[in-house]
Amino acid sequence: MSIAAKLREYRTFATRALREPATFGAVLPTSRYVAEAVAEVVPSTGTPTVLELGPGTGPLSDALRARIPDGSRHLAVEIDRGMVDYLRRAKPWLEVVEGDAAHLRTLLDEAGVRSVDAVISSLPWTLLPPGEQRALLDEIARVLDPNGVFTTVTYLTTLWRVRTREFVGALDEVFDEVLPRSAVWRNVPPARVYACRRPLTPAR
Amino acid sequence: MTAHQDHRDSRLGRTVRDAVGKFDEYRTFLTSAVHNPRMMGAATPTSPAVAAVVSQVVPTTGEPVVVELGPGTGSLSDGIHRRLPPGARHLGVELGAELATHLRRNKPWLEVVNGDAGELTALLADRGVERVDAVISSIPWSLIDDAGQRRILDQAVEVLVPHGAFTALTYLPASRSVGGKRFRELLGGTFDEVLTSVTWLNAPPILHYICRRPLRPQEKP
Repeated sequence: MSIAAKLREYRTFATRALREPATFGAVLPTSRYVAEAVAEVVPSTGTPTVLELGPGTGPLSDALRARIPDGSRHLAVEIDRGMVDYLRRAKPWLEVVEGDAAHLRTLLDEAGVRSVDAVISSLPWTLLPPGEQRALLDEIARVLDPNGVFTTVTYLTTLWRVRTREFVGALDEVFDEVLPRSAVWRNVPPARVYACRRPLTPAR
Repeated sequence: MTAHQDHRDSRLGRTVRDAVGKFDEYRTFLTSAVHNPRMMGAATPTSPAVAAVVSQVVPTTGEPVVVELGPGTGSLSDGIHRRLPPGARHLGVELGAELATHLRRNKPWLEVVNGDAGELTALLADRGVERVDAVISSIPWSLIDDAGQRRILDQAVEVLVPHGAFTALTYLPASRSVGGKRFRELLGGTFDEVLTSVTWLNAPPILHYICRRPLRPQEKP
């Protein structure tokens, strides 16, 4: 990415963060180290369907795109209009779906997607009340392939907050396998990525 | 005796039994470590926090088959056993004869195989196991030469189901040694996905490798 493009990305991010502080969970766009860590759970063979939730300016999108083979589908559900416009302009290869992740099943039906191999979330979980956390996780479990993976970025600085602990508790309820991965220190704030598999309540 | 006393006594009894069992585990561990220092790569048996991480890959539904490589005194086995649903199979391939005896005595629910992980496919075939959902290794990879490591990994890959998991662990400081880095590279060349997780609540801290999707397509009949 060129410096000018990177600057545009930061400007979009900062503008949106200032205008809609309630929907923003991050202090800075996610680093490439987090992006690389996240991308590893995505299959690099076959033609997987990959879905990003709340991609923002898309700091993870390039790493995911670099990893998945040709013929795969790469979608992103983003609620913020400014971000959607930016993504469509800056990353034309990304299938951007404007909408609320709470209605994931409907949004994916409209996009002709049956099940997803990897769901990558950058949603600000700790800003959501527990009921909404759980409803969103159930919605994700509903669209995930039985062998698929759900991965989400949290921050070490919020590790001890009640909302974070509630969120990890909800992960344990929804998924059979919840793996807290090694911390990514080269990010502001340092990130913790969870990799979750085998939804326990698919409610299909 | 009141119900309260009874409850307390049974709790005390369980604590004593646990302590005796734990002592027996440590004694077996130390005896084996002294007799076969080359075979025992660990300085202490691993903690429940370590078991909590590796057992995540163990499916709690269906009828999964889980194989432990080098279970030693079985410090991970209980955590794995607790998650397994009825109808599952839980095997442990242990090279040390004394450790195998200890496991058979203390963990009767574990199918103990006294053998070499380098002969994994043959050992499993003898027991009618062709497909494994999770291979959990606690063998001292750093004490095994490259060819030996490759041989064990190839066999683990051969028995794993397509979405099965392979795990390995090493001491966090050792993962940064030359041998540790070579092992990480070997895993990276073998699996499409190699995730790491750190357990700080162990002395010394443990680095886990959780691997999926072998890169070489396996031919299955």
